[in-house]
Amino acid sequence: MTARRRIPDRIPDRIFVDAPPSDRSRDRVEARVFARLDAIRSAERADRLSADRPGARPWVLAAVVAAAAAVTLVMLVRTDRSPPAVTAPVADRAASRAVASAPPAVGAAMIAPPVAAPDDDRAAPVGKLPAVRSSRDAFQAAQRLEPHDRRGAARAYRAVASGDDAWAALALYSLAELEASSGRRRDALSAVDEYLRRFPRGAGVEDVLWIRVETLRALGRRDDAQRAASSYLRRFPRGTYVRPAARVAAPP
Amino acid sequence: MALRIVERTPPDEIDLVAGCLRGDRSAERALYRREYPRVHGLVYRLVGPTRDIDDILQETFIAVFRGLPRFRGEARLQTWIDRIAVRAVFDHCAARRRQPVPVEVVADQRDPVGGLGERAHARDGLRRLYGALATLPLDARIAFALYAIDGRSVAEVASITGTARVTAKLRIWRARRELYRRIADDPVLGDYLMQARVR
Repeated sequence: MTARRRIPDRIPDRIFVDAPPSDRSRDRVEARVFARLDAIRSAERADRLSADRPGARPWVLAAVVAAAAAVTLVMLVRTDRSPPAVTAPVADRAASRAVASAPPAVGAAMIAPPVAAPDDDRAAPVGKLPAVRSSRDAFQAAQRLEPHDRRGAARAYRAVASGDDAWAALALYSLAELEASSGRRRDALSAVDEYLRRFPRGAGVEDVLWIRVETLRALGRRDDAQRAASSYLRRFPRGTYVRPAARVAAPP
Repeated sequence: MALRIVERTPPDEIDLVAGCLRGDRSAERALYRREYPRVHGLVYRLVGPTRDIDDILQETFIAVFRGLPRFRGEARLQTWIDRIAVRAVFDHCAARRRQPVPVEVVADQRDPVGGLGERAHARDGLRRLYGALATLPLDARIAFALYAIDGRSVAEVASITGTARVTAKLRIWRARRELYRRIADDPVLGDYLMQARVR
């Protein structure tokens, strides 16, 4: 009779092929963490500032009032059971315009469609108001897409990057990183160039410059990579990537 | 009445946290550098050898720095960070449902096991172990890895995963039961695990 094999209570480290973190990996994660933190914090500051800006709140109020008026009108129409009235869509469009034309300061809050789906066949079909999402919501939605739909995430980042707030900078940075890690190096380079052109003093400049060096190397453009590494060293002589940049910048 | 043990936060940790809350970048970097090796070890033991470790660590530390204002000092800072790391692993695995990357392609490995043959055997065993763990329900997998691989007590597993002790115990037991099934079909994995007893 064979004895039953028993799994040990603990699987000790000595049979475990352990992986102590390398300094390189620690520095890489450190650079990413603080670049992202800086970007997130500056975007949040920008969000707060724009929310406090005089004139921003009346727009939000106007949008909410218009949306409420639309709901009231639709409910009146449905109570009357009158034939499809033109007033509801008009009010709807007015509310839409109010929402759509509100400045970006509408910001952090997402204005949900105020009209519920009709539960009566005879009621006039009512279109939903377009949901207005803040850059932060859109950015976070793009982040959630990243693990399972990289192309979708890239599209979403591009959409956020088309704005001109701090989230756009963060989206461009994330897009550059995503494209580089997906092997779409030319797209990564164009995101990098756009970032450097639009946000030359952005929180992620150091990382973006390094992404540029690595991407150029991966593309086999050695001379360009060398020049990019030198440019990185000039700008960040005590930066996170100084050692690898010095290796790339050194003449062969 | 259940007793609640409140671990005191040491003064140096309080200073470090206070510095981070003031927005002092050097304090943030000091905290990161102090915690990185430990959190890396924890995440590694939970997910195995995969390239995703850096992503998980990144999410963990961002959550740590953004969540610090909510840290009340009732538990050790390490325990609090461990909870965030486990949460990050959970979210990551739930989102990706990926198999671990074979250990051979992961760089920067230091191998404490002896000769070449033994090393290859250990790597193969490790790959099979994490392959088996990846098929388990996520909560059972994390509870088992925390208990059996990271060496935590059942009470710690319960605290870190935010469950009752009996739930943690049940999850560990379920994972172990599933591993027994796998061993029956995979003698290499069985040999690998048995080595833990004879060494």
